Amino acid sequence: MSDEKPSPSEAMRSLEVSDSPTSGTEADAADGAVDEATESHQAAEGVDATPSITSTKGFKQAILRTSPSRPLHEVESPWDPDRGGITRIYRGLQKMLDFEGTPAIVDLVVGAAEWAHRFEPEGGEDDEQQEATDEEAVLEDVLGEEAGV
Amino acid sequence: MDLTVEEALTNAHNLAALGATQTGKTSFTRELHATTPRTVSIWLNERGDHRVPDVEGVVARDLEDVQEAFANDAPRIEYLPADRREAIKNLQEFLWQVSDATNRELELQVVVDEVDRVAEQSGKAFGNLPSRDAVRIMTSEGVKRNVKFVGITQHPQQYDKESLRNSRYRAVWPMSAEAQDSVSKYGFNWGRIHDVERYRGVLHHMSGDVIGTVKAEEQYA
Repeated sequence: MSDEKPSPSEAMRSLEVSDSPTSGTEADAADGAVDEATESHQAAEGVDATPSITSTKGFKQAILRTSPSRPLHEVESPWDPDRGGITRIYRGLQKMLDFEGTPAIVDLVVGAAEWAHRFEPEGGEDDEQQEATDEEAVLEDVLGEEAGV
Repeated sequence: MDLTVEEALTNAHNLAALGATQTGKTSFTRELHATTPRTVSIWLNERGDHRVPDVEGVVARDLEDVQEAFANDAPRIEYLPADRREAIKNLQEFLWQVSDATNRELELQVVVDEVDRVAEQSGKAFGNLPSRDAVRIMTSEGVKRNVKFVGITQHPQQYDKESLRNSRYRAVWPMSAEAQDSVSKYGFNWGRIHDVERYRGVLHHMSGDVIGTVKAEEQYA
């Protein structure tokens, strides 16, 4: 053993981080995944490590799960109107209130509402079309009257 | 016993700090974290109301932050993950990689308060409780990898027994009767534990021999 102790930074330089444990974001994305060693143990023991989503506990965990979390570096520039705005506000709230993300159940409800909104009949266009038709009819009447004069 | 208190607190062998709340064990461990000569000490803290205050070090909120702290040679790290159970598993794997990368010469320390909350006593087989398994791995293999594990609990009856047995040194403060009963076979010197001054704990070797007493300095209380 050398007299000079290694430093943490030296360890990081020599470490191949690509095979290291994932960050919080990626770990959240892999939520529910099990490594091979654990799988073999589970297979041997015949026991599931995580509760099934069909169970009360599993369902509760699933709807309240906040992963995968959106990366905090999503908006990198300090001024980026195109990508900032609500995203930056949301990130600020996360930092202030110290929460990682909205529960899955909120995503489901809001997402369903957003999806339904896409299929709502756009009354504006129908009104515009009707208005155009009425204008054409009036014009025809006027032209017809003039022609008949 | 020839071993001194200082040697026991600074070598790579694991330490368990056991005692009821407000007895001085967390203050002592906070001082140990701040003053240890070991190169890096990481305190795995809890977010929110259970967060131990005044823990020295840069704050890391995920493993990337921990890695960044290593890259910046930060000697003390307060690790505040969203989920300690998930974090301790990833931390163990990362530290094992660091150990391999430095030929096990980098002196590391991991401190976990309320360790029974991440490594509870359970009948689940190895592989079915990852956080407990990570603590078992650290307490059984850590000394060979120069990683000292310091576990703090006021509920030794709820702490994984294998992990507790793997702690060569046990600093003990007064505790509840049921907690005392759960560690009745560890050979602790209860007479001395109750005789020493307030906030002072008795440091035992795994053999039951008393090494000495420990107490936090005022600034860490």
